[in-house]
Formats: sequence, C-alpha cells, structure tokens
Amino acid sequence: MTGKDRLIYFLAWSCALVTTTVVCGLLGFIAWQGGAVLGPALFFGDAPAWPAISGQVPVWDGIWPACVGTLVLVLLAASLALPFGLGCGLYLAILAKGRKKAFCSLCINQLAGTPSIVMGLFGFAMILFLRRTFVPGANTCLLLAGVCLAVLILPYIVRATQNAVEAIPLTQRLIGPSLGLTLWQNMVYSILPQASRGILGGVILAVGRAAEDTAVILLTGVVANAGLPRGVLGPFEALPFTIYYLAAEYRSQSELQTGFGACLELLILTALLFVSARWIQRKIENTWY
Amino acid sequence: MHFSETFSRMLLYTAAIVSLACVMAVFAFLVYFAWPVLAGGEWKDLLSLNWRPFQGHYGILPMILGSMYLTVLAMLVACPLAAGVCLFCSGLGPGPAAGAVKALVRFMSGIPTVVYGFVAAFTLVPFLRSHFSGSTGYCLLAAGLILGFLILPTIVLIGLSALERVDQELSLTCSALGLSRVQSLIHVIFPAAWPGLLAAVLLGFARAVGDTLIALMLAGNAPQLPGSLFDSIRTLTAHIALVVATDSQSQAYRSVFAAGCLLFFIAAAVNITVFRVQQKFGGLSRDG
Amino acid sequence: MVLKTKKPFLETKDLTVGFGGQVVLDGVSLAADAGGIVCLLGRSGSGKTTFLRTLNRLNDEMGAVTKGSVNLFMDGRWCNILAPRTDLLNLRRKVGMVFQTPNLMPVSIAKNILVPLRLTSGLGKKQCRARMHKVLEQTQLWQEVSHRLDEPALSLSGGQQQRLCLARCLALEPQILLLDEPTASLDFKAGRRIEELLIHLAKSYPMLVVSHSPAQAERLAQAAFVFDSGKVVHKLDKSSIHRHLLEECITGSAK
Repeated sequence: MTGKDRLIYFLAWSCALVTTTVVCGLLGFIAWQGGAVLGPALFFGDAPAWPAISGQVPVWDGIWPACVGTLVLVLLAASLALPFGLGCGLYLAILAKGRKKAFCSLCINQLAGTPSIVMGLFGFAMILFLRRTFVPGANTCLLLAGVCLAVLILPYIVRATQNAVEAIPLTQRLIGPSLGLTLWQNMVYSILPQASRGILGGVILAVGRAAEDTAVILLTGVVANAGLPRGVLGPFEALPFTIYYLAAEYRSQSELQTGFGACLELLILTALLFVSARWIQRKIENTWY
Repeated sequence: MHFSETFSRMLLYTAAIVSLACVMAVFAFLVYFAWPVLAGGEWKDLLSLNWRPFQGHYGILPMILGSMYLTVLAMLVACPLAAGVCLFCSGLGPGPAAGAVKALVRFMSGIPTVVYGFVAAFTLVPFLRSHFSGSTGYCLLAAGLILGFLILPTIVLIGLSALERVDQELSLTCSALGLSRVQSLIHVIFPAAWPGLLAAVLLGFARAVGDTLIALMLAGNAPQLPGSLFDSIRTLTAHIALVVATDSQSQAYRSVFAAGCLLFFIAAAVNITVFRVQQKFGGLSRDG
Repeated sequence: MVLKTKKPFLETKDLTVGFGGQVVLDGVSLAADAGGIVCLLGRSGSGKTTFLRTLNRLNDEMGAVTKGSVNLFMDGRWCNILAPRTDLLNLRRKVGMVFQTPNLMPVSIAKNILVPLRLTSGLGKKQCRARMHKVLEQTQLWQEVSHRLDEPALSLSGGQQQRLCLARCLALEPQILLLDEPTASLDFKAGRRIEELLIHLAKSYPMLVVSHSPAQAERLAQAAFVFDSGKVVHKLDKSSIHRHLLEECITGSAK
C-alpha cells in the first residue's frame, strides 16, 4: 500500500470515528442526564398520575401536556396530509406522464426543500390575511399549526407512495389492467395492498418529522404553558418547543433536568418511529426477492 | 362503469392539484406580503447593515451575511467528514463496521434538531465560553460545528446511494485493472458518481440554509457582522422566528416576509439545479 | 364450445407501435385463424411481446402510441379495438393474458381467483366459488390445491402458479387467450404439462402464444409468425413448421 493510500485510509477511519464518537456521546449524554429524571415526576410534576392524564388536575411542572399536545398535533397533521399525499403519489406513479409528471415532481420537491420556518411564516401570513379580510379575530392555534405541519410533511408521503408503487415490478402492476379491473378496483385491490408496506414506512417517517419540528409551531401558536389542548382553535404545548423554551429560559437546575428528560422522551419517540419504519421496509425487501 | 373511471381519475387529479396548490399558496402568500417592500423602493433599505426596528431601520443584510457565513462554515465541517464517511462505508472500512456506521448515520438523520441544540447549549457553549475569553459561547463557531453534524447524514446518505449505483457497474472493472480499493474509489468511482454527489452537497447546503433551531439556540442572535468565529450572529431563519415572536410593528413584518421570499428562492434555485443535473446526467435516489 | 377450424379471429393492418419516439412495431399486417395455437417467434426485442400486448391494449398503460388497425372477432362480430370509444375494461376481460413470470397477488390461492372474478362479473359468492372450481378443474389444479385453497398462492411451485394465472384468466370467461412465453420461467416437466394443457384449451379458445423456443413452436403451433425488428418476416402454416426451419428463420439465414 502506498503512502498516499495509507493517508486516505487514515482519513476515512478518523472521519468515521469522529462521527461515531460525537453521535454516541450525544446520545449517551442525553441518556445519562435525562435518564436520571425519568419517572412520573417528569411528566406530571406534583400532580398525581391518573387524574392528570384524564385532565382533571392541571399539570404545572411536568411535560405531560406537551406530550399530549405533540400527539394531537401529529395526528391532525397526518390525517390532513395522508389522503392528499396518497392521491398525489398515486397520480405520479400511475396517471402522470411526461411533462406533467416532471412539473408535478418539481413542485413536490420544492415543497420538500422549503425551510420549515418559511412554512411557519406561511401559516402566520394566513392569519394576517384572515385578520384583514374575513375573520378579524383570527389567531394562531392548534388547527393552523396542524395545517402547516400537514403541508410540511405532505411531500414525504407523496414520495413514499410514489416510490412504493413504482417499486412494484411491472408484471405485478399489470395484474389489474390485464384482468379488466377499473382504475379504482386496480388501486384498492391490487396496487395499494402491494405498496402498503412502503407507504406505511414513509408515513411513519413523516409522522416523526411532524413530531420533532419546532420552527413551524414557533410561528403558529405554541406556548410554554397551556395545559392540555382544549380545542383546535386554542393555544397548545408541544415537546420540541418545551425543550427550546427550557434551554432559553430555565430558572433552576430542576427545570434544566426536565429539559433533558424531555429531550430523552422526544428522542425515544422519534427513535421508535424511525426503527419501526426501517423494520417495515426490511420486511418488504424480504417479500419481493 | 365509465362514471367510476372518471370519478377515480378526478379523485387523483384533485389530490395532485391540492398538493400543487400548497406550493403555489406558500409562494403566493410570501410574495403578497413582501410585495410592498420588493416593489416599492423600500428593498434598498432592507439591504442595509442596520437592524434597529425601534428606530425605523430594517436592514437585513447582517442576517443575510450571517446565514451565508454559517452555511459556509457548516459545509466546511460537513463535506470533508461526509467524504471520509463515504469512503469508509464504500470499502475502506471492514464490512460489519461499515454497516454499523451506515446504520448510525441513518439513525442520526432521525435525531430531532432541537435535541442537538439543547445538548450543545449545555456542553459546547460553556466549553467555548470558558476557553475563549471575550465570547459568551453563543457564537458562529458553535452553531457552525453543530449544523455541520446536522447536515452530515443528508450528504452521506444521498452520496452513498449515488456511489453504490456506480460501484455496482465499475468495481469489477477496477479490480480487473489491478487498482487498489483506494485508487478505484478516488480516481474512478467518485468522479463517475459526480452528479449524485453534487446533488448530495446541494441538498445538504439547502438544509443548512433552511435550518432555524441551531442558529436560534447557539449563534447568539446579534444582528451584526461577525468579526471572528467567536462573535454572535443572526441568520435569516432565526431572524424570522425572533421578529414574529416579539410581535413588533408591521414594518418589521415586511422585512421578515422579504427574508422568507429570499429563503424560498434559494430553495427553489437548489431544487431546479438538482432537477437539471438529474435530467442531464442520470438518476439518483432522493431518499438516501 | 368447439369452434370450426380455419376461422380467422384476428386481423391487423399496418400496425405501428412506438414508445416515447422509438418504433417497436413497424407496419405489421397479419391474420390468424382459430382452431389451433398460433405461435409468435423471434429474437428478444423483435416486438412479439409488444404485439401481444396491443391485442388487449395493455401497451396504453405504458404510454405507447398505436397506429393502424387491429380487428378481433368477439361476441359474434368483428371489433376494431383501436377505435377511440372502445370499452377497454370489457376488452381486457374478453381477451385474457398470461405473462411470462406468474404474477399472482400475495394472498391466498382462492382469493387470487375470487377477487378479480367478483370485481369484474358481479356474481354472487356461490356462483364465484362454482366458477373457481370449474376453472381449477380446467387447468388440472383442483386435485392439487382443493384442500388448501386458503394457503398463500406464492407457496405453490412455478408450474402450479402459472396454471393458477391461467385459471384466473379463464374464470372471467374470455373469448381469446394471449400467452407471453408461458413456460419460459418453468422447468422442463412443468413446461410440458402447460403445453399439453394449452393444446387442450386451444380447441375451445382462439389462442396466441409467444414462444421462446422453435422446438416448442414445432410441438404446439398450427401457424407461426416470425418477428424481426418490429416486422413480420415469415408466415408459416402447420406443414412448414420444422424446428430447423424456424431456427433459420429466427437467425435470419433462411430465404
């Protein structure tokens, strides 16, 4: 091996080592600091667990309302984005051809590349617009954040659907048409069942993206203390914002520790989603080949 | 039966049109609110170095430059690391280790940005503060380092998928010619995969420009030109977040929408470039 | 249904098919008779699969541009299937197709037949089951699968899967059968079994078979067409089909 080769090997190994060390260090640090506070106190503060979960007793020091807020937000965003994402993905994979397909793809990619803060700004702009025109009392709220998050994650679902359908081998995709099934029958009974695993993997990743996003909710109504969400037109809490807020405004060591706990919680959530998406995608590869 | 065909087609067309409408709507709202600034003469004022909203100065030039510096720094951190990791995972590292590193990088892409920021705020920032006097620790360097790690998975994963595609075709030829693995990677495979690698770098760049949280939490947010790596800066993205959060007058809002337009156009420029490269020079997978 | 021999069921004139600017079939004019298997032969890329897929307009699904005229004899009269207002769904149910590799759904054996049948025919549950029984008998599968109809179809052997695909087609009561290299992915024994089945079915259904093997065409065909670069270069009837002649036709060294 020449000297130059040896140098390159060394560089490659050091890059890999640096990356691994930094990531493992990060994860380890969170596990250590956050793990120390894991427990009912992290979630519910001083309030007793069961009444707090059902909302009878307000939680002041815990991250439970933020967890619920994130959950509701994610469900809202996913249910809004899913039908349009599926439809658009199917359109790109089955119906669209040539220039129309390229244009539509370009637009979806543009949506994917738009920074999330701009998406939040879009939501804010909508509220300003509504205030000036139809709804003078309009304010940022859970619904607005949900809509903006839905637009944010829409391209993920479109791409996942499109890729999953295009990955089906041609002869399998032709089963429906060759038997004379209608477009609807073909989609529902042949294409979607075969693409379901890929689509599901993509949806899970989209959900993860919605759960961790902070920039959008910053501009569309998240607050530090709102308790459990009381309706889609009101303020709400969310985990990523709680973490950000605690980093900027913590007033005591215990609040700082809460921040680490929240980090751990969010990390576990996104890790679970991520791992299950990968596991599902692995299962596809085993079925087709 | 014909009705059902038309109905299903209409359903799909509608979904596609709504999705397209979202992009158009984002663009439209941004332009609508930034228009008074862009069309009138006010945009020249925006390009000043003065951001003092209560004195009527809405210059966003420091923020534009801040974004630029931060992005460049992040790319300087991420690209060499990404190149090294790609080399490692393409055969310079032993099989199991390469697989493990790849899985780790994939997992990295799922770590929330805010978590990166939070941990860095309580580890890197105090470190910088104590070792470099005169700095609060919230500075360009801190944000640049962490942002580099944030965009690393994007560059690595897209780059690896481009390399793997080329590798399949060419690696046997290279071995037959008697090239060592290092030589085939550096002299044949990397150059052959250049469209995909370029796309990977561009997408990493776009991600860096568009990130908000790292800059917001670590860069200090002072609207000024940095004199050194240890000075505080503010990016366009953090600027938008701060201005909207503090609810100042409408003039400030307009500057923010101009900033939003700028970010949107940068994303569009990267998008179109990647699209053109893909069209002319061959496909690549955008999922990594 | 036993057909009289020597009755034409297919007529094409100047058929031209192109994909994205590239011409795959170039002015193909031929006529085929029912009463026996008609084989299409040629090297890969010569256009035989595209020709087959023109007959149920499956090429439209892949964005092809088709010109010329194609007439099929169905429902007692000639139909121009390239006419703009053709009911494609009806066409594809009447013209059944079996692909080179068996393309079953990853569901049970019974569902592979029952689901398309139920969706396209609107028959009740009992009638569907009865028809499934009938076609499984027709394809000689009933003995082998009757006791495990709810097991995954992909657990069957290659030959059984191909016969199941054929059964799925037959369940829709087609009037013409198109088979694209049906034995290409099968071993020798399974292939021969399918060939015997096809010879038997050809008595009841007009049938076009794309074949990869001159020897197979010699065994099966009443008539054969040899394709080369998108054109028909040889038309042979039963008396002139010999394996060696076919090989020469395909490699281009004959006539």
